[in-house]
Amino acid sequence: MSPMLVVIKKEITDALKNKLFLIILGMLLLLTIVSVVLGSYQVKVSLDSYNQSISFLKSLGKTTFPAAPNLNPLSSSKSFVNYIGLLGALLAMVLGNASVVKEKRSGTLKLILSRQIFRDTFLNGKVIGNMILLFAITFVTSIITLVSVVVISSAPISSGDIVRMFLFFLMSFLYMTFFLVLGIFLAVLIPNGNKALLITVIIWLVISFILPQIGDTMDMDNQLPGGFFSSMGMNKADTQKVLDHFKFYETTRDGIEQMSPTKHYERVGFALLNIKPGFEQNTALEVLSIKWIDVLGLLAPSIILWLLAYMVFLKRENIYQE
Amino acid sequence: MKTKKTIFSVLFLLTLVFSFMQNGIQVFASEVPNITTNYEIVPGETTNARIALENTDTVSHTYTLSTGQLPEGFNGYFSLDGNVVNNITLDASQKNIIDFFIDVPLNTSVADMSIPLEIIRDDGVKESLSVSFTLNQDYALSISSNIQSLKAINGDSIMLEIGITNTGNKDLTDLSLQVDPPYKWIVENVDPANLTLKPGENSLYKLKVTIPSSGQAGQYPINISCTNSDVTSNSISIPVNVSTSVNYFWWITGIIGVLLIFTILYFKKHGRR
Repeated sequence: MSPMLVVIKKEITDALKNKLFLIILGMLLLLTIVSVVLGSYQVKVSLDSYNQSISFLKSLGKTTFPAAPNLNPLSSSKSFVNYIGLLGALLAMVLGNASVVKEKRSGTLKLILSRQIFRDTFLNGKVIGNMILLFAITFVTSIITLVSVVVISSAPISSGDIVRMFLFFLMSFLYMTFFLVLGIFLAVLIPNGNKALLITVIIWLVISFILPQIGDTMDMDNQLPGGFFSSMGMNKADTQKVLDHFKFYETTRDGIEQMSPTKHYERVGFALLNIKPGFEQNTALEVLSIKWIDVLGLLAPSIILWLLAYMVFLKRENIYQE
Repeated sequence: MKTKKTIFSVLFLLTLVFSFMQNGIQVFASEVPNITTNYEIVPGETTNARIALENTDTVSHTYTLSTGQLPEGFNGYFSLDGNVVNNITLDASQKNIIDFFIDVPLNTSVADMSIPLEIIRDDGVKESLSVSFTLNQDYALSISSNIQSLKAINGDSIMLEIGITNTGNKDLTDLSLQVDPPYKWIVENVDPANLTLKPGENSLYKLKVTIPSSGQAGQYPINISCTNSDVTSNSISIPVNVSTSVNYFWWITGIIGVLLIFTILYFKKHGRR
């Protein structure tokens, strides 16, 4: 067995013994099941209500019926976006941090690296092993979601919907991978494991909550409840005149939002789940091609951090100390 | 004396029978004022026909209101005191005015029509009425565009050409284009600002719309209609597929590429450990 495969196997075994990881995983799965079941039930209620109305109209002899409500079965995963944003990210950070710190604390890092294994191979094993874990978690969650939607909601679900759902879970996997790599990078960079985890959590808070919040807060129309422009009694033409004068401000605001992988995940996720209108007619792959900037916004930071982790890990002499 | 009594008895019985017949047939005599009047309908507008419904019975009744088959695109509904109703309950001898609204589609080709209305009392007694309508084609306006959909990059401006035709019988003056773009999009220019069209005449509007550079990729509709004080045209929706500038892609992949080369060089210099 190649050294990298040994590290991968060890990483998966270790994670399954990590109590903190198991607690967060349990919470994530529980919340996912509850939210998906409730979401599917909501779709079922809407579907039943519509069918009852149609039956009633038929009994009255009507031949024209109101259009079916938007029974988007994918919307049952809406809450999952928030849970992945919170618990999924936390789970990935804990995995990333623990994968390096545990080896330092137990002294096994020195032992492993004294063998015929290169540092980059060791790091690859760590990242890939944890990515397999995250992929397994998202895959199981996607199966739970699909079964719940089909069994509970009884709403018609097309093959296109299933592809959209799996792609959404793939985006969730990419999002968690970013925090995994961030956790590993900081654990490699900062000698103190606790400090590394603390800084990882601070960065998570900044990019997941503060940056999107700044973007929202800086939006001129969000300055007053009910919308700034409508509160000021401005019509569309006046609104456009004002916006025209704030192009730079608007670009800055958008730039801040673009720095947040959470925002990218939310944008591509909502488009795939049909929660954001305008993508109903597109296939899942078309949605990804339209939202390529958001996919890139999830991928690029992970790749950059991975490369930086290589360089830091290669040169560090005090890597064994905490 | 006996004969007089018999005559009174027969008259009394006849009165009773007549009274019963009155309740049985005219239980719900529906007075329909103006029913013989021909209502005028205008494309794209809603016409209101008023119907008086009277319960001439001695007890309270509930009436179910329905319409016959309406022409395609038409929508009819009943309203009482501003609320849409399908049933109405009237006490004995009570009378109420019900509005029958009919929404006329903009592109209707129906010139004259008669819509049957049916009123069924809770004990199954039915009454049918017929309301006739004639299309007023004095003011009619139609807009169209050859553009099925547009592709644009955020930050770009797009040019649209909208055709407009006066399909009515009278001149239309002070016509202006109503553009409803997505939030934060800017309508830079509409040319001409105002237009006058003779019957059958057509013209072209040109407009420029700017997509904000912060706009997200996706499909957004621009809704356009034309209006003046007499008439509003049909509304058309032009979907615009906004994509992100490919420059961002080159920037990001460039940064990753540079970092990758730097990492390889770094490894070459220091060697694998």
